[in-house]
Amino acid sequence: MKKIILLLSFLACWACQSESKKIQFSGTEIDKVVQEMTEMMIHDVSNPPLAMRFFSYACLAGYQVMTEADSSLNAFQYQFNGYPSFTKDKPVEAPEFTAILAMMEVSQKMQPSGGRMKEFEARYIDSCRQLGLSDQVIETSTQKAQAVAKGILAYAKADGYNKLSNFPKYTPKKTTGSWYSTPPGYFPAVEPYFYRIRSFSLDTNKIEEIPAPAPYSESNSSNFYALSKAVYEANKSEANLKIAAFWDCNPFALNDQGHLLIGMKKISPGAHWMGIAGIASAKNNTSFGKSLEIRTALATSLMDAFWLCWREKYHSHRIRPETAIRKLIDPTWKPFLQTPPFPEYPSGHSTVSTTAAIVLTHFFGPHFAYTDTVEKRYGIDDRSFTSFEAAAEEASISRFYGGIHYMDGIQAGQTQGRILGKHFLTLLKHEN
Amino acid sequence: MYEYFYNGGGVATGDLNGDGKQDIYFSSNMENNHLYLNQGNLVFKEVADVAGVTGRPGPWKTGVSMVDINGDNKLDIYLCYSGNLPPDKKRNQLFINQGNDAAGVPLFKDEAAAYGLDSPANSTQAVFFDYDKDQDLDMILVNHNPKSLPILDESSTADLLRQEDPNSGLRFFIQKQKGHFEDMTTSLGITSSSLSYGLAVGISDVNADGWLDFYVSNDYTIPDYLYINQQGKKFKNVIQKSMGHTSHFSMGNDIADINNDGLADIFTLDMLPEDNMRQKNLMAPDNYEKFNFNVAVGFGHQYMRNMLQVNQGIDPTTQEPKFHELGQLAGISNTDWSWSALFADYDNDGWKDLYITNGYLRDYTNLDFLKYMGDYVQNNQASIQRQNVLELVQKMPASNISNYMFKNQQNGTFNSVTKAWGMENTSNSNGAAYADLDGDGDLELIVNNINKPAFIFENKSNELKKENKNLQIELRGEGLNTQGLGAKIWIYQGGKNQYFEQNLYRGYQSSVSPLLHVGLGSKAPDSLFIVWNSGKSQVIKKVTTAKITLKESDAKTIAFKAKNQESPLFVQAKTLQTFEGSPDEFNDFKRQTQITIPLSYVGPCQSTGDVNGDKLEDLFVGNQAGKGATLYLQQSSGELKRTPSAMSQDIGFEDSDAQFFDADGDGDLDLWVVSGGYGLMEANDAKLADRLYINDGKGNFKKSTVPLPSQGVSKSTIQIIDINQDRLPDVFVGGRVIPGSYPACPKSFVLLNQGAGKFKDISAQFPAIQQAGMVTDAAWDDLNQDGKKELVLVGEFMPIKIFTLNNKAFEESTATFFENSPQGLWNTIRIEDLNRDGKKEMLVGNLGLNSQWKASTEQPMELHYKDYDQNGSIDPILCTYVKGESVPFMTRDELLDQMSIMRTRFTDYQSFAEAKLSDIITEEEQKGEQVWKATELKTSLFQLNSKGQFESVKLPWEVQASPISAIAILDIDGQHDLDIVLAGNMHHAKLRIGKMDANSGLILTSKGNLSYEAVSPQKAGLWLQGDVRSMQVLGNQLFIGINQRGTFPFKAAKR
Repeated sequence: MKKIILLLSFLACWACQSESKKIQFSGTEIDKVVQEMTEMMIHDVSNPPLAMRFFSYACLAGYQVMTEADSSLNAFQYQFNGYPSFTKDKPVEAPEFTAILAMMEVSQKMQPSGGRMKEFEARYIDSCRQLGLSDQVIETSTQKAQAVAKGILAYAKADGYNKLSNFPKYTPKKTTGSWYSTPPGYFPAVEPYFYRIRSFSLDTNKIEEIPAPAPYSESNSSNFYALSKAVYEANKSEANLKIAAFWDCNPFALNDQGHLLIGMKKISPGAHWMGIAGIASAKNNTSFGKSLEIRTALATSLMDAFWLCWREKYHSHRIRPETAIRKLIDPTWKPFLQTPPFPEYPSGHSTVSTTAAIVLTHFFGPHFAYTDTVEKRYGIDDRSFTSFEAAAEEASISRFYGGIHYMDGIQAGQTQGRILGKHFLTLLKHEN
Repeated sequence: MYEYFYNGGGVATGDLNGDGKQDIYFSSNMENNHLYLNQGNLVFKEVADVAGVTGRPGPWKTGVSMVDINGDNKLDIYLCYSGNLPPDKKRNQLFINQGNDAAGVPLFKDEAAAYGLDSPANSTQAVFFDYDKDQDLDMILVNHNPKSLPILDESSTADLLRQEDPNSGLRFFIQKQKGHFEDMTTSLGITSSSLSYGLAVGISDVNADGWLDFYVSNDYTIPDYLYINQQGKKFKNVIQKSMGHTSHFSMGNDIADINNDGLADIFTLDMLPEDNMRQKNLMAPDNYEKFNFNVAVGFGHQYMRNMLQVNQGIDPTTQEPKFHELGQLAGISNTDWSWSALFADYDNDGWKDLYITNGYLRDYTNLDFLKYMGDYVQNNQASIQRQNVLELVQKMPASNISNYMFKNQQNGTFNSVTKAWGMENTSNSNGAAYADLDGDGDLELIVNNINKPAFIFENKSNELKKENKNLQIELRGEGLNTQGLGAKIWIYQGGKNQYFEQNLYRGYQSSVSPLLHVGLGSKAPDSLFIVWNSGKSQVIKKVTTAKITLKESDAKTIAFKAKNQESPLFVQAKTLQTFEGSPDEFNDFKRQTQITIPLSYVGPCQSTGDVNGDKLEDLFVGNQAGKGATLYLQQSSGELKRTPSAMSQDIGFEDSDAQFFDADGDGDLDLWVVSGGYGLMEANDAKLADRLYINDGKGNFKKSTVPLPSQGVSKSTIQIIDINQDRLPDVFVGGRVIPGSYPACPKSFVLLNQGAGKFKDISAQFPAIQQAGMVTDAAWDDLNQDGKKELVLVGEFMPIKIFTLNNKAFEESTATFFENSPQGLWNTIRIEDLNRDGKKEMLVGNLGLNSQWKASTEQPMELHYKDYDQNGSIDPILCTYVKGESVPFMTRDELLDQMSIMRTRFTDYQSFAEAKLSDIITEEEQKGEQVWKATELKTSLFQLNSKGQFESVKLPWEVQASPISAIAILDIDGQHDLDIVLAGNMHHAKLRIGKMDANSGLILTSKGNLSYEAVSPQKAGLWLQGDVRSMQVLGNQLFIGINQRGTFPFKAAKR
């Protein structure tokens, strides 16, 4: 759905010397940036929490521009931990265009393949120029976008992500029942210190904990054994496997064919939900400003969801079903999905999907039906859902069908997602 | 998809039609095989069709072997098949030579089924030998699994290894009666599971017991096997006992005596490229979890490079042969994706040279391909489709590189002469064989290429190196072993011996000429000694002709005379203490990935002295890995008795050095213990404080309550010095590292003794000493007998630094003693008058030359460091020279891990593969960085020359096989000059460097004039295993401290 509508400006422009046509930007313009960012994440194999960090800061830059220009938007970002103050200068002529540029500026600087976004930006500006945007507007918008991006990038740098490499590399705990790298790649643990960066909305002194996972036990009368057995015996009907594959969202599954190794890549869970937000906004014809508000709320809430989830993962260090089942039940067992390289508890997809559904429901209502076409380009069939909640429920259970999570890990993820979602709504509902 | 689609074909050579000329047979994976009859003058005629040896049309023909299977003196041919094909398309063929037709063309008939050798397994090659000495030939069929490795863990691996899989596993066929073979694999104790990716078998009597053993090269993480023949009854795999580490992706192999010591050495090929760009595109980041997992399931320590396992003889502690892996020292470890290795004397100088084929048509291993090619695959399910794979494979580049020729330098090393000898043709080559095709007394090489005509390299040595003579030996064995397979031949030329074994199946998928070729150099042999596989032997005196024929029927059975085993120089005594059950190992590279060499494994240290005034030397062994320090009092019987002491209370320290001395001037020996280590310690950790234990004169120690100034950094060494001649000994303590901040310069300490156990830190007066570097050891001596003492400091990335004490002040005098003080990764130093000429020599332990790192003054190792990304941690970047260019040692993934800002600078592997330091760090960022250098990695002996400067003295090449961390100097043989014991090793090096374990306690005996001879491990009798960190001589005993193992005394046999 391309929706760049050209409106001729009937009124003479008093303030400016050169003629600039007014271009109306619809919310789907944001999708272009999000999609390009997603492509770059896939190429770079950006891990799920990190991917959300990129989306968050890019969206914040754009949304900062919009909230300065449009006071009807809820500037909830000012409640974030350590959020910087921005000097209010005179409003820009094309705030939507400026917001897009600000997003691109941040993506360029933060993402490994940022050079690609630079080219994308050049093409984008060019196409707007073709549509009649004057050089002067482009010039002032670029200046403003760069100024905001600079502030956001400084904010991003201060979150401490670049200090994570100072921590020792993760060493698997030697106790039985704790997580160990999984085949076929035995990749090292992903982002074991993610929770040491600054979150957007959480107060580290007031974190509501989820229950501890069922303790590891090799006794076949134990709760843990029953949980493992349940994964082992999960109903692998075609419908269930289709669900598992639909929500796989593994950025890098290793295909091991002897000397020939190929990484099979997909989008991360967060990127999937960013895509869903785009689908919903387009369906509702949501305005540019509101669309960006939704995207920003979603991105930042999901980064916090990953933050919370990763904190627990590297607290409980729980063994993956693949390792436990091969040891306790069947040495030849292989999960349907490739086990991602980090501890099991809780299920990250469950946490973020539950949070995402709460945030999107806040904006679109509880019975918003839609068809998810996000992964069509990866050869995965569309699926239709009656609500975000239904989709989140399916995303959560898909990890059980896929053989990579125990049921208590999924439930704990959902609990955690609800905690975070509810907490985040207090920010969104807060009147600024 | 068939796993081994690009593994290529083989070559077999031998005289098939009895005209005295060597013919050539090539296998082709998909086309007909070719047989070329030698017409003389390097002209050949193709006769495969007439001869009946084209093989079955179509895929998939692999290895070829010539063998006279029926003892009719006519060579037959065994041809292997593999591929993803039904069994009947994979049945191997045995072409029996029926004799020549009228035109002189040999005719063949496939009789594999009749012989019981028409196996439908996935075969790489067959090899033949008489394992049970019944005078007929038996056969090993080397097979591989056509599918890729399944997911393994401890339980499934054990399970899979137990299950026999005759189509994938190696099979052993015994010739039960003439012309009839039976598969007896399992009853011989040979593993034959689906976990088999056999690419070659080498045959040799590696333990010299007269029975032929064999080595199996397995691809991937599947371990290689070394099967020792149990006197013709069974085979026993001893690889874990015999070898410290092996090739990871083992391909072809060869077994030959490469150093003319009379023992068979084993060489296995792997995939490590020589140049930086191909390495960077290939090397995955060090994955300790994956590596430890493979060790845990019993697959051993495997590293991706060629391994030269040099035979050290039988280790009495295991009763099995022991090998030291010296491939990197030899200079033959990095030859890219390699297939065939052939040791032979190509220039007839009396030393075996080495030819290696390599190349792969599709470069699967490219990391950009792994990480970024997946972008283009539409992925429906969790597994990709066959069509996708084929499309991807088409996009891959061919490695297309040149094969390697190495000349034996006669000192344990080889030199690449590929270009000099005119063999630089690029190709993707697999099987190869040697034979004297033109009968002119030198060996030609025949190479089978993929998608390219075969190579025949004509050897011009007979013209270009006329001074070098040769000897060709035709063997006529008895019974059905007409080619004399398994015969051993010694050629004696003055003091030099050459050793050969008659085995045709060498390299990869190929067999070499049965005519045994011996290069002689300019010296004619004094005599020749042959022992046939049957045990019969014969001596030939005066070999005058260039070609001789030896007949087993002329040989006699002589009662086996046990060789007069020289008694070893040292005999192990009762173990003093063991550190078994040491706590979890700490991985330094998880804390700081860019540490050069591991820092945590420092102990045990030792110190000796008479602590209780009974005129008997006592011994202290320091803390190590959580095990308490111990004081041993020597009894009048000579026995060392463990005695409780205050030192034992201080558990948890890592003691890096200790010294008995009279610290408080009361006439008895007090003890200073230096705290070192790395682990999880913080800078300024309480565990980094040194301790002083005060002696009451009776050997009872009490910890001094006065804090010592030497604390706050990890330290390595103590040296008692005297600054002010006040009869109170002063102290130097060397700083090793600031934990967590490697390689920032730690502080070293000069401490003035103020009596009563008090020491004053006066380091600030001597900034050059205080900031000397990462010190590992120190010495204190008057180097030039001018009455002034020198403090000598060595360390990691340090020059040898010398400071002369002049009127209570230290003046740096390095330049007085060295024109260019060599910078090394020095571990330890000893100053001694070795030749007792009144002048001091300096012996300094270094990293050695058996690693991927090389350094020289022109091409130094450089360690750059600074907090480049300003995130609060030091970023060390090691640069080393590879093929004449300084390149970063770290991989792209390691760099991106170290500095997240680099993720945007290197978005793929290729860009990093091309990067120099200046491409990584901008000029602006380089401002304020610091650089450590190393210009010398050899363990070195220096003597003073007439100008009063130290110059390097040559040491035996064996010294450089492993890092040297401990030196003992003693008189072993009662001669005038002193002898030396060198020990060390490094088991915790980063994975890309790998375990360094090629030192088992090396004794150098003096031949006078600072000339030394390396004593073989058998004669030395030490057989040390592990990382030796200290050696102390006490009476006639040598106490050896081994990290995480214990302290082991050895008694000198002759002293």
